[in-house]
Amino acid sequence: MAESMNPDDEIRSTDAAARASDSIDSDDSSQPVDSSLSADDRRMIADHLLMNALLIRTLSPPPAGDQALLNDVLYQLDRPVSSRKQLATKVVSAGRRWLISSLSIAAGLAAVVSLWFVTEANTPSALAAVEQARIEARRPIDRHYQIKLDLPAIKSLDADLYLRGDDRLALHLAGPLDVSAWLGINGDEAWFVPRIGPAIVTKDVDRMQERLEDLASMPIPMLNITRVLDTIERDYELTLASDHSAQEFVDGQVLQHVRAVKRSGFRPLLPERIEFWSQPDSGVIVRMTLVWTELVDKLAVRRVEFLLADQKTQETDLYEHSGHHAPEFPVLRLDGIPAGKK
Amino acid sequence: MTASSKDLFEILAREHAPMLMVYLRSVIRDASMVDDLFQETMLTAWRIIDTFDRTRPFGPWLRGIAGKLVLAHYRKDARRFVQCDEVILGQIDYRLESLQQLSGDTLDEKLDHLKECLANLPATYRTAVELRYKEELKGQSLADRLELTLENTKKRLQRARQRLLECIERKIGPVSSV
Repeated sequence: MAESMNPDDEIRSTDAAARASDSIDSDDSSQPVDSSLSADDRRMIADHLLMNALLIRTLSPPPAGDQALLNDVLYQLDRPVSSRKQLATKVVSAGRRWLISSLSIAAGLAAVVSLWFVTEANTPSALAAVEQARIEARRPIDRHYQIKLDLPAIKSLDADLYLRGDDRLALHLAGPLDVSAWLGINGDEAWFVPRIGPAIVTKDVDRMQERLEDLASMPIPMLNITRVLDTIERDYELTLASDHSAQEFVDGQVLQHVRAVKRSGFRPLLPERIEFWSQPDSGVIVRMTLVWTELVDKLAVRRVEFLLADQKTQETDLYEHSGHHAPEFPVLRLDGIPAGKK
Repeated sequence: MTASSKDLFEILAREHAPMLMVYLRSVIRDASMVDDLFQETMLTAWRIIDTFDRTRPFGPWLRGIAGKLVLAHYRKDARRFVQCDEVILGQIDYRLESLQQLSGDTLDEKLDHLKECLANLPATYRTAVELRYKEELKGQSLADRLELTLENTKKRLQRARQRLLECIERKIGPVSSV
C-alpha cells in the first residue's frame, strides 16, 4: 500500500510509519495528529493503523464479537418504540454506553451469539443459557448479590451488589481496617461515596477508577469483571455442565451450569475460568465464580464469587450517591476538572 | 421501518459488520469504546436507513456514519484513540473498500490472503507479529521475549507491518490513495 516516493519523501514517510507504530505498540495516551504532517504522511499512518486492526482480526480470537454486538442492536430493534428511543438516548455518549455495558456484565451476564439461540432454541446449550441469562438481566428487576473476593493482599473482601436491569447498580464494599464504601451507577453517572471525604461523581469511568485507586486503595471488582465477561464469547470455550452436584438444585429445580474456560494464549488479565448457575426457566443467575490461576500485579484478585441473596424491590435512591450520604456531604464532580488534577 | 426493510438492514449490517469493526479498531485504542461505537453506528444507520441510496455500496455509507461518530467522540476524549483525523479515516475507508477486490465472500475469507503474506514473512518478523497479536504481548514483555530493546522491537513490528502492507497491495493490484 506504500506509494512510490523520492528519497526525501521516504524519510518523511518512515517517520510517519514510526509515529504510527509508536502509537500502536505503546499503551500511552494518544497524541493529536501532528498538524505539520502532510496528507501523504497521514495516509501512511492510516495504512499502519489499518494493518494493525487487520492483524488483530486475523490472529486474535475468533471474530464473532461483531455479530454478537449486532445481535444486541437487532434485539433492541425488536422492542417497542419507547424502548428503542430509550436505548438510542443511552448510546448518545460512549461513556454512558460503557457504563451500561459494565452493568450487565457486573451482573454476570455475557454477550453471546443470539442468532445461534434463535436457530437452536430447543437444544440446551451453553450459548443458549448465556443468552437467556443476558436477556433476563436486562429486565428492570432489583437483584441483590453477595460478593466475596479473594485477594492475596488482604485475604478477602465482602461486598453487596444491587442491580436493577441494565442501567442501575450499587456496590457496598466492606472490608478489614474499617474499609467501607458505596460505589454505583445511576444510568448516567458513576459515583463513589467513601466513609470519609467527598463523594465523587463522573461520567468517565476511567477517571473514577484512577480516583478510587488513589483514595480507597482497594480493588474495583466491578470493572475487572466487566472486562472478563465482555469477552466471554470470544475468548472462552463454553460448555453446559451435566455433572450436577447438590448445590445445583434450588427449590427442586436443577440449575443450568455453564463453564467457560479461557482459550489459551490470550488476554492474561482475564480469569482462567468463569462459571455460573442460572435458573432454567427464567435465566436468573443464582451464582457465578471467576477464578484467576496466574496473578497479575495490577489485578491482585484470585477469585470472585457472586451469590444471589434476594430479588426484593429496592428504593430508587439506592442507585444514587445522594442515597448514601447526608445532604451536606461534599460532592466532587470530576467532569469539570482537567484530567490529572486530584 | 417495515419488516422487509428491517430484514434488508439486518442482511447488510451482518455483511458489513466485520469491516466496520476493523475500521473502528484501526483508530480506537479502547476496546469497550470500539464496541460502543459499533453499536452506536448500527443504531444510527437503522434510524436513517431510509436515506441510504440502494444504488450505492452500503459499506462506505455505514463507515461514513461511523466516521462522524468517531470524530465527535475523538474531540471529546482523544485519550481512547490511537491516531485520528479526517484524512486518516478517509484513507482507512478507502483501503477497506479496496480490500473488497480480494477473492473471498467474507472479510475473514479475504484475510486468508493476509495469512499467506504472514506465512511468507521472514521468521524474525513473523515471530514478532505472532507474539504481538496471538499472544498479545506488548512493550517490555514482548521485547524480553524477542531479546531486543524496546525501540528495536517497535522497529521490527513496524517493518513487519510495512511488508505485510506491501504484500497485500501486490495481491489487490495497483491502487491510488484517496
